[in-house]
Amino acid sequence: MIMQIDLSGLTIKKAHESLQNGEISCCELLSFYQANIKKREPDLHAFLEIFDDAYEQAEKVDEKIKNGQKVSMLAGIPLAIKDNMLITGKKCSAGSKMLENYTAVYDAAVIEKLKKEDLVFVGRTNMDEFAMGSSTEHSAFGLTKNPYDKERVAGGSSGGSAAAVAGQECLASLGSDTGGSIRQPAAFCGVVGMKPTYGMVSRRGLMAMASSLDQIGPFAKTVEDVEIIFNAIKGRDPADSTTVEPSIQNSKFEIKNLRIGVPMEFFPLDASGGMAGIDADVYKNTQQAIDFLKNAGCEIKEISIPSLEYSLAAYYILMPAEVSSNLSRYDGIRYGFKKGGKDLFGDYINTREGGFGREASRRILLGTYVLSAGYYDAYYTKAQKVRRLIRDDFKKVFNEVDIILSPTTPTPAFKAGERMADPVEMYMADIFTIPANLTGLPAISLPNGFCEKDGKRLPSGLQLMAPWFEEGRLFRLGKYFENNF
Amino acid sequence: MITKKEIKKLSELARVGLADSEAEKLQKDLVNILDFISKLKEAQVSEIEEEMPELRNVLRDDESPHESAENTAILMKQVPDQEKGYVKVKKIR
Repeated sequence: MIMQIDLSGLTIKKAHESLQNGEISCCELLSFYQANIKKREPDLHAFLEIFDDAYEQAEKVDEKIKNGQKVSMLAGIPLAIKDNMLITGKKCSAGSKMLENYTAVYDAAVIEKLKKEDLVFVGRTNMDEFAMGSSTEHSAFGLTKNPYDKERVAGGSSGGSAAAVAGQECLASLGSDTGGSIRQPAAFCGVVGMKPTYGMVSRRGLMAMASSLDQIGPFAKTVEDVEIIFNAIKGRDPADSTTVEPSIQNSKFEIKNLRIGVPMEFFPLDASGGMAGIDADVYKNTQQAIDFLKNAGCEIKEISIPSLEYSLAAYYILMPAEVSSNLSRYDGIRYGFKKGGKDLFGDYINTREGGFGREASRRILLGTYVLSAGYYDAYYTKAQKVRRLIRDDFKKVFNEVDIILSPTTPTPAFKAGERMADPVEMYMADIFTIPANLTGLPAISLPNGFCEKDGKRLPSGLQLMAPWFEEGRLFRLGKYFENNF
Repeated sequence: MITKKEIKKLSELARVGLADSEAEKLQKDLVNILDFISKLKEAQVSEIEEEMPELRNVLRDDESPHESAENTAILMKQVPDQEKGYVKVKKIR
């Protein structure tokens, strides 16, 4: 019995209810999304591959439900996975020619966990090559377009995962965030996206970009859905020694008198300027959100985090350094793209020249530079110290406030091609998101109004940051904002 | 200011080949980026210790190895150049 479902209003809980009481089967649910995929993919290009066994997965769940077995909240839910997380037997390319035909030989930790919950993996989504970029234009396989405006980017590097949810091609998705790669595309595409505290989600099976900065996180249309998925994927993993099991965070949460800090360096409350050129509509939307929260009983405090002015520079030293190390494994010897030369050195040179795109090469060489003799102290060591300074500053600030608020990005989605000529211009898109990665703090982007550009309505995002391991605060305030604003 | 010679050196160190036109473009890009990150020079951090992760040396006990050669077949499937069950590489000079 198929009933017409309004996919745009669907949530995990609603889908679960409908599946449990037989209103709809998993296969039927999947078919609605597959229909949307067929309709929208030629334009969006959010996916690199639609898995041909998705219906098989859905059937297995339908069997369980038919046999009266109790299934998890996430059972049968169609989920898309960013193309840098390994699923056994599936191709996984990290958006790169280097791994175009690579087949994963084990499941990432998060995939293992989600398989136990009987989720249906719909496909792997497009991304900037090796997660390096803020627009998905650096994918070796074409860019992903913004569902709100075909001429604009979906953001990056998890652009495909964001666009797939916004385009109703799946109910939720996973992305990874190293400098904002979940939150920024979430803001550009008008969905919820969240980066957990560093260490909350295992990176086993996530192709490493910058090991001290990477985290996996969910995209969905609602905060509750993001929370449900986060709870399913989090947890200490003995095979990822950077994961932690935090002592239970039971901090009280009340909207009334909640202290919300707005960093003047990011968002001067008197519109006097600040670090980044903030789009007028983004400014207005953020100001409206702040006013709403003030009226709801929150205490809005203007705070100052002076070391923020160095965060972008520190990030663009530390991240390429780690990238240059992590990407050295791609040498055509054990797997992946290979192009031979006249000797072993030639094999490496040709393979890596042919396998990597321009942005990846740029960052590898930059990383090599800042780590090389003579420059190591001036760049890398200094950046590590600045990173410590930034972390200490945030520690101090969280004594005075409970949540930090800012726009997620200074502008809405930019036009494709607009920022490709000058890499630094592209890097500026991450200015508000980077501190959460440098410090390891959890952060979420919530859809917050729209911007008018060339007669099109483009989403804008509101970012909330909480202290380490206080994801609960982000979810509670996020839900309150979502339901009442 | 990063020179063409330095770019060539970096390309060799990182084992990433660069056509001349690419090397030229990259040089311009890196000059631009290095200028951007040179902002860090102003930061006053002489008294600060480097950021170190809180977790160090989280190791498991050296026990319970998996069965020998359990994964070999599936891993060898992806090796571009192999011979008689060995991964094949050119001679290291």
